[in-house]
Amino acid sequence: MLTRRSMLRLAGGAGASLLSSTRLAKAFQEVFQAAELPAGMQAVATACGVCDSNCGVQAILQDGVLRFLGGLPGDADGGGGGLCAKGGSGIGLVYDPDRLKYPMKRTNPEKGIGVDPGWERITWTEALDTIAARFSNAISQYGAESLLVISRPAPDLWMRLLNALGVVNRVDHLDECFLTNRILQRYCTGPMTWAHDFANSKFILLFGWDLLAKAKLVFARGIVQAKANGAKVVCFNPQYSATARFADEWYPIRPGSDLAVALAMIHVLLEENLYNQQFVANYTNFPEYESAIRAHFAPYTPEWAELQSEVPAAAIRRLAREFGTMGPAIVPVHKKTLAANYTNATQLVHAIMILNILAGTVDRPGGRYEARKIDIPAVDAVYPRPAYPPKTGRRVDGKDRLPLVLEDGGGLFSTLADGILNKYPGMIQAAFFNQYTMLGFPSALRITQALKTIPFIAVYDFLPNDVAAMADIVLPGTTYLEVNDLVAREFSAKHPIVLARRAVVPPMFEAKSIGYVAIELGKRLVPDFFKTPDGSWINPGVLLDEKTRRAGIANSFAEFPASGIWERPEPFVPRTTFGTPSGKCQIYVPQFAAKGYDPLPVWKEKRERPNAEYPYYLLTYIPAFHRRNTTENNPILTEMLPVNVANINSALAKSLGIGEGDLVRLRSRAGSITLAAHLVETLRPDAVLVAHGYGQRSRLMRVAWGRGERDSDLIPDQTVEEMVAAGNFAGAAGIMEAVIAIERVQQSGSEE
Amino acid sequence: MSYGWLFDPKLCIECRGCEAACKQWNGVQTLINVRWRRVYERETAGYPSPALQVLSLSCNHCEKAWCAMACPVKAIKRRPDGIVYIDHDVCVGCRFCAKFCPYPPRPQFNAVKHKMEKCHMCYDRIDQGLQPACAANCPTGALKWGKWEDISSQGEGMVEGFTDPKYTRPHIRFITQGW
Amino acid sequence: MKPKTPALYALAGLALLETSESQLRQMIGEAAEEAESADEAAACASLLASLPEQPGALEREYVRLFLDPTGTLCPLWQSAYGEPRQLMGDAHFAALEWYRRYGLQTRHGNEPADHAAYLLMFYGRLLEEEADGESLRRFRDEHLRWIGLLAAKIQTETRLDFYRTLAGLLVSLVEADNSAEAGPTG
Repeated sequence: MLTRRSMLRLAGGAGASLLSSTRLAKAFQEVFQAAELPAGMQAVATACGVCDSNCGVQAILQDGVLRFLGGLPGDADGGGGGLCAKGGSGIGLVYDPDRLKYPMKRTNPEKGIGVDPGWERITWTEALDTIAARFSNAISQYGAESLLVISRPAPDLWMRLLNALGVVNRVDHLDECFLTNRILQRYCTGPMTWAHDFANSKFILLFGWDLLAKAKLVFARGIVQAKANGAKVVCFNPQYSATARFADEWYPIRPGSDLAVALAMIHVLLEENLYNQQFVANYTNFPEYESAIRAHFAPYTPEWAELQSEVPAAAIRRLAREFGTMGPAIVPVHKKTLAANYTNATQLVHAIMILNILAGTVDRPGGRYEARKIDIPAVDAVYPRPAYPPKTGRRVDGKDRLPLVLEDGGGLFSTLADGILNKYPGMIQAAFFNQYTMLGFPSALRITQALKTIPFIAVYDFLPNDVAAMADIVLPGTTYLEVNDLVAREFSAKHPIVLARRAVVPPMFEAKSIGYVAIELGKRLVPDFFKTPDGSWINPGVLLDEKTRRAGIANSFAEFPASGIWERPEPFVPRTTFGTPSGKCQIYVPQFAAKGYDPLPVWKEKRERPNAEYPYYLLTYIPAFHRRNTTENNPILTEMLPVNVANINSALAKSLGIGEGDLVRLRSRAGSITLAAHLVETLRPDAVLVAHGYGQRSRLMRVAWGRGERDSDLIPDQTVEEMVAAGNFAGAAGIMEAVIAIERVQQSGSEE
Repeated sequence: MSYGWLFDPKLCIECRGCEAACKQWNGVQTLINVRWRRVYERETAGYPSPALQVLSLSCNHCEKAWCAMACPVKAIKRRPDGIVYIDHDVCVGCRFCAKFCPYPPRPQFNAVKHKMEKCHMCYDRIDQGLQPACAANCPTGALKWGKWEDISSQGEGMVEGFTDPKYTRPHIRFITQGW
Repeated sequence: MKPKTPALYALAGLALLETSESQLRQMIGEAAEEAESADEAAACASLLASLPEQPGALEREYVRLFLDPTGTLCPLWQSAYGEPRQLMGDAHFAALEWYRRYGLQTRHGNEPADHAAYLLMFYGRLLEEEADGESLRRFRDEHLRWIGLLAAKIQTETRLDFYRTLAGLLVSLVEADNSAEAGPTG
């Protein structure tokens, strides 16, 4: 018999009692509450630090030891209460037995792949004194240009050190990532207009954008929500990836020709006046340049684009019409996916900006919008400093030849080897690596050669990777689970949201934060920049408390809400002026013209095309469970794909006499690698797909060492002259520019 | 009262958060090819119109568990709530259970301990009012866990390639309806 | 013995916690109105009828029986009936485990979890949620049987009708075999 009472649910909580309407139930609630955690366990809310999704994490500890990382309840804009494999395996990074534990110095002067450095343990004091002395000598003897710092421009304390020293050669990987995106948006739609309102989009156009396959949850979940809300997703990608699986239409586009399709779609939108007239008339510079714009896109017909891209002209035309009429349309572009892949990325990203502008969704529902952030003061606002010395010196990566890149400050990994070896041999006297490995560069062999010419290398990281193996001094770094920080949401932030990244365990062994390193080197080299007004040294914990307080979040970091998420809900007020030089969304960019660049995107081929010697395209991807310098030594993640393989279309393989598991040599003008072949249906028959992140050479990374091959051995680096000649003025690294030959080396299972 | 899985492939982004959560919570040994939960990606159509079937699977805690019936030493037991688990004090690693189980990933042989291992639905978490680690961490809701009486009427009992549930009555349902 | 309803267990437990006669009168009155069986209605009625008239009488008797600091006549914690006779014994930890298994914990972490009232209220909750017969039987054996001893002590020591009636209800509750038929009848 079903009664009110028998309809109860065993929900694991003290709520929903059948007696809930009576005093009995109330009394029950006074005695019992929902159990929060297994007995003996403690939960701490924090934020993941493996990738820039910065999903909330609920760290579970037992007796002070990390036991489990779960999603953070209430994190609607990030992981949604879940965590991908990368985040869920973070414990393996903190407790990695191969982890760098103590500062060390090299005693074997010979440096090379597979050479034993002869490590000797030293104190932090000795390590910092040595680094400071080498830096100081290099600067006084050779000038600040002789210091090479391979580092993201963060945190602010670290940048204060570099700027105080007058470092001109700070180089990061952004040419392989979002440099092109960031430069173009600054001139087209405004800085930080890279948050995506997928949930309200009705038409999502993806040119190689692959962030579901990379499990970047903040973006991936948005696409899933969009599909649930009835959005149409169209995907152009030579690979049918996990992202393509979510598309309503997928086109195996010819690699490097997305630009043609984008130009043709703009052509159709203009020709048929299917753009958002109201937005374009009021908020863009289209009216000023209309005739030039229309004339410019006139030749880029869908028929022309079909010849370049192999996407049928009728489809291009129809998709453009749908883009213009189905409702809020968005073309996301971010990170490595596509933007950095081809040397025509500058033009492609410009075309994508124009598509978003014509859709009228810039900072509007369903489109790319400017992340709303609160002002979290940087160190300069808390502790004033003397003026920085002027930056004088030569740019080893050639940034000075690309003014927009120089203005932005990001990049350039793809030209660094050429700069060190050919352009400015001997200029770099000392280098500091902050959390980058060799695998992050194209042509890793070339960068290894380049590093050998540098007399002194210091490496700060948490794993003993291939770059650490080339170091003179190694500093053990803290992981994201061991340091406090404030993390402001950037990619899904309609109102300000800040997460607390908490030190859930104390730093292991003698690991220290990069902030600590900055202050300690600062004390030795540029003390006036690291003092507080009362004359004491800057303290990172006090600084963080001040930031928390001044941002209006809490009186101190310790008082950040226990939930780990702080929000300031405020209505989203769409911008009517934009952060571009003119205050309008810019389709035609006069600032580009002033520098002698194309003010509107023009068709350019990708740099390398299949030819007789190298008949196939090389494509690379990053598995969903790997990221940069944090995951390759993690056994939980490694066993998901223990070695990388050469993914080849089954028809192509058959035509070449290659069977499943056969060893094949892939060869490009940059080098060659040998992998087992894996036959697939999810690739164009003129492309080979290889996973990035394998081929770690450091024997000290016992899980990662020897697994697979480096895709980057096949990827040519470039010179800045090549970039200029290619019209690549927004600094794309051209990661997918390689073309290769394939030959079977050995049949699988044979005795050869 | 028993439990089951509800899987919706169209929500799965193949992030493998479920695999990692299981390994992390249960301390499953790594690099010996033992994974209690696995994400399977299978090509179901050829180029130029490829298609992929994606499934996240672990033990289905069948009502008529052939693994338990096959075990010669009665190491595989069932709790009152239907969770099927392997008692490692009894298991001798003969692998019969894996031979009879119709559903990948099947019980797997841990060559180091010489025992069979499989998902036990994180019953230590369930007993504390929590969900199994895999379902708890799924970021899109593709993998859900709950009471079988709520789940058994949803979706379908099988998908292409999945053995007909009529034999062992596995506690899993699939949402096959598309967007 | 006839199965008992969840509300009766909850009520009995609360009667071992509440010292205000007027509060008890209201609670029992409400429960009587919502009674889902004749049995339950009768139990509520007899409790109501046995409540003392004089204000404060119940409260004083409660303190005398259960809270006398010079030596408790009728300890309300299961550990006090075990070996050694002290609080926070095995029964406390075992009770905590039971609560956790069902997603609950007590609000007052610094007090013993094996208080007769908590155990009775929790069992009522198990019944409410139609826990399986084996669990009900186990919890009854492990954590309710001893309340028979408590009830006997109350019968011996009390001077108030109310507590005498309550003791009788307690005995019938802990001996009821709810595993045969979880949930209410009639």
